[in-house]
Amino acid sequence: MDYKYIEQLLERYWECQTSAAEESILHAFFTQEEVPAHLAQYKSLFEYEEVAGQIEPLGADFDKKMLELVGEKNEESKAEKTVVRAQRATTFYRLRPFFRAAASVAIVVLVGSAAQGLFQDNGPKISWDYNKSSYKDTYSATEVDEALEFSLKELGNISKSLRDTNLVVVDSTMRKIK
Amino acid sequence: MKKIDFRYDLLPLKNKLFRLALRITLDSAEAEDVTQDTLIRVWQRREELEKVDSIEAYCMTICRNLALDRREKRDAQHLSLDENPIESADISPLPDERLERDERLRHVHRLFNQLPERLRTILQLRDIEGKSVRETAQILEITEENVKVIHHRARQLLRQQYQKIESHGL
Repeated sequence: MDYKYIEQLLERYWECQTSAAEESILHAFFTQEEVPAHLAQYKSLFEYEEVAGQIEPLGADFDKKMLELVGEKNEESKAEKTVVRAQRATTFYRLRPFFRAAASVAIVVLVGSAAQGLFQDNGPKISWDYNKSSYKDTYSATEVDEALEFSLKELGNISKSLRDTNLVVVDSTMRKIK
Repeated sequence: MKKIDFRYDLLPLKNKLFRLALRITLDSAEAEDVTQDTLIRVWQRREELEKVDSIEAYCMTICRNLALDRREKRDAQHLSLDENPIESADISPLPDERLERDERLRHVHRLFNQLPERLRTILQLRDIEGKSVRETAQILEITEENVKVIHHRARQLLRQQYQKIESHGL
């Protein structure tokens, strides 16, 4: 593999001409396990820079000591704060969660009803029933028979009267011809 | 800016301050004292600090100044006991297991600490803590140009050391 790029970066590193991004490339390169032999001597430099930035010898003991050292003032300010807070805690603040719950319920209801109004603007749609077996007659059989009989009788009357008038017309024309 | 909280704004800086102080004093007990003094001093001045942009940079500045003070005092003491004080680089502590174990890292540690204070502080801030030129300049209260010049000199010295190792085949 060609390490010209790394060599160039390293050269610019010594001259302080590398950008932060380029230096992180060098760090990444030199902190990997395998580094080519001619560059291996610089591995320790970059590893050291990594390790030295992570040294954290001050632990919880130090924190405890420091908090004790500044403790008095710290507690005072905390006490002041809590007094102020206690005075502010009115019934309104105590009931605040309930107000919030009520407001959210109100919003849901409002939005819900508004949406309902929007979607039901054209009234409820009734779907057509195409099932013939569920059809029902609104009349009885006897009524049909009576109607048929009546209409046949009337039609008979009409044809009879038509025939009579036809005969009269034929008679009168025959007479005229004669 | 919001109110400074000791536990959440200042305490988390402790190890960064410690590392800087250690780099300057080369003594972990002193570095711990410096860190403690820095935090207390900043805490006492917290009211006037609410206008400062970067609490961290401010703390680092204080930390460096306190560490330098200590070093001067200690050097003065040494002078009274010893006519020729030697830079105590080789006996500087290695507060990390990995540094203790790895001979090569120990060697670089010595290289760094043999440099003059200014150079090793710049290397600490720029290359180890990853501070920008601007932040470093702010912490050291010098111009950005100066940071670049000192940083360059520090890297050149490191490089010379490395080349020496190479030629000696160490």
